[in-house]
Amino acid sequence: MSRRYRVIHEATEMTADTGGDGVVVVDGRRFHVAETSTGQYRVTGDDGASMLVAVAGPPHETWTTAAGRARACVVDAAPKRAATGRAAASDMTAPMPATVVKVAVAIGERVAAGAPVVVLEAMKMELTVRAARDGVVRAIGCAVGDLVKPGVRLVEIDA
Amino acid sequence: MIRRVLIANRGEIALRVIRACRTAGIGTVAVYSDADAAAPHVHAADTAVRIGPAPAAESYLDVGALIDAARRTGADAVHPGYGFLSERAHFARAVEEAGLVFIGPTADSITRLGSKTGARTLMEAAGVPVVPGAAPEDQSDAALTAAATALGVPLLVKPASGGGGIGMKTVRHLDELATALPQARREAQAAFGNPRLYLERLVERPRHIEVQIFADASGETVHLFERECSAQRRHQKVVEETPSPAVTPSVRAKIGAAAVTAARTVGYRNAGTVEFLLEGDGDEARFYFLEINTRLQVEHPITECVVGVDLVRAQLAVAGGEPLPWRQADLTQRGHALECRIYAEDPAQGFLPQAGTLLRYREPHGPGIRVDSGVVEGGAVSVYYDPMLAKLITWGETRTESVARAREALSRFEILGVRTNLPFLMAILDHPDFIAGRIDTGFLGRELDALIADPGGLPPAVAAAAAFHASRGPAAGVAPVGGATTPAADPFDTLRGWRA
Repeated sequence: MSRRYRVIHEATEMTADTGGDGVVVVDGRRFHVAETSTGQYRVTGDDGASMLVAVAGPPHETWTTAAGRARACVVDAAPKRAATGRAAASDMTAPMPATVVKVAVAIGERVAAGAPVVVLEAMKMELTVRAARDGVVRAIGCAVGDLVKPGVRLVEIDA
Repeated sequence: MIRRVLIANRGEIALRVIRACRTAGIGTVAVYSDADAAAPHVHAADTAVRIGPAPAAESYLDVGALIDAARRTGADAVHPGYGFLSERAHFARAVEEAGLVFIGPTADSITRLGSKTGARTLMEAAGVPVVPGAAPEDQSDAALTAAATALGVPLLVKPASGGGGIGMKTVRHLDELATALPQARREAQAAFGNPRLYLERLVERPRHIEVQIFADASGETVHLFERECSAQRRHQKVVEETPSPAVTPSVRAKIGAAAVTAARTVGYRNAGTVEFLLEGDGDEARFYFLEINTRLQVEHPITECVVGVDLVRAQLAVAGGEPLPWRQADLTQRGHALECRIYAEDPAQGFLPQAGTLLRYREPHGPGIRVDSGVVEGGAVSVYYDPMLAKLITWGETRTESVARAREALSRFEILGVRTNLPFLMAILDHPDFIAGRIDTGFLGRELDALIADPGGLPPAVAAAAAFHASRGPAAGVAPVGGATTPAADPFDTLRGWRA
């Protein structure tokens, strides 16, 4: 069964499509993934370059290590391609448990689509939540210092 | 003859001592705090005794609790490991007074060597080189200037009492003394209530070279060559090696003999380390006594690898009254060994110690690779104790080979769940100055920015593995966005190991 994931690391987000045959396509690049032992994978690119990657932890705090360098990321099930237009990142909810470090808008403020509205921090990474559409801020569902759960709507904007 | 040893320590060194006892047929007693109830050293020993709550002051530093645990378990000796109480004379004395064997030097030696200035005076009298210095009785500017002229520049003007670098002035030209002396005098008076000054030759770009020594109850004393520990950050050693790339055979013979003299001067017993500063290169290099560490060192395994000995087992034998297992002429160095200390710390945040659960912990294996560690996969790394997770020790026929082995082994370490200094260690081993052996105690500080630089970003191949991992099975799976979350997958259930 093929599934699509968003892999979020610091400010970057990649889309990864997994197939049942060990093929994973990350932002258009194809990799073949084989489990070498529990939690350890050999990842080979189409160019033949290959590396060993160990993975552990729950999806919202996935730890990886390759060549001695460990990095944490969030692996999130992404909606199917047809729904990409309203992707989770633009619905102004928290994608993971996180601390609110900045609220960049005020109620009644007019914002443009894509403008930063809230900055979250989790696992020492900052994640900027952006306005999903042009409009006026109707409600703010969080304050600086709040620990927010995934799915909590942070800001509502009236078109 | 020692029958049962209580190990007054935790982590990798407790395991190291337990293993040496096993091979010597000696029973073992572990002690643990509440934070360590499930720690590996507890399971490794024959018996384990709880000695108190997590804070070290109430457990691993509680002399009464340790002596009581030794009595209750019938231990006849105590091994202090390193850190904690290992260099506290009052602990060695309490052990001796309880009728137990302290596996280390006598309480009296620990006291005498605990005072840096006292040790310096003793060594100077015994003819062991110390950093040239002067504390003239006449503290007038004229007398101090005359003393400085005799010492030569560059030199340091220091308060005679005190330390920590307060009031210290570097003088590179004698004419700077006119301003440096009154200023240092005022600062010494303000900080320590004593305006007297001490002048010391400034050793520039020194190397930290230490010599392993060993002595038995009859006073027979040997050295087991040097260790180069110049790769240090804020006096915290990070990478150690032996032989030192800077020590020539003639300097090695001289520094070894000086270390043995230093040990004999204080009637030293058991294992110890004489620390020196080394200045200059080749056969002309000079060394100066710093201090004697009255314990087994963290970095003792590199000596074990190159000399082919078991220092802990020798400690047990000598503490039990046996003669030294080696004569000086038996001891030789073969090949080169390197130790990298792996810490749960984040170099990007000023090396802040990290705590958490080890979601994955896999050590590298292979020829010439030894890992001394005190943690297991699934175990917790707590904030209570030293954040060292493991020591990677590699051996090779040559320095190039042991460094290459270490570099490759570091890249195969898999430690997930807490941030570590593994990338920092790899960057050190990749640094041209380290490769060339051109290091001094300022090396890590000068090169720090380059050594902690993080290329950043998650390689797409790593993202592929992360996504593939998530797609496997319910344990690793991801609930679709907006879908039902099973209780076990509720992130708030795992907040314990999560650093917000």
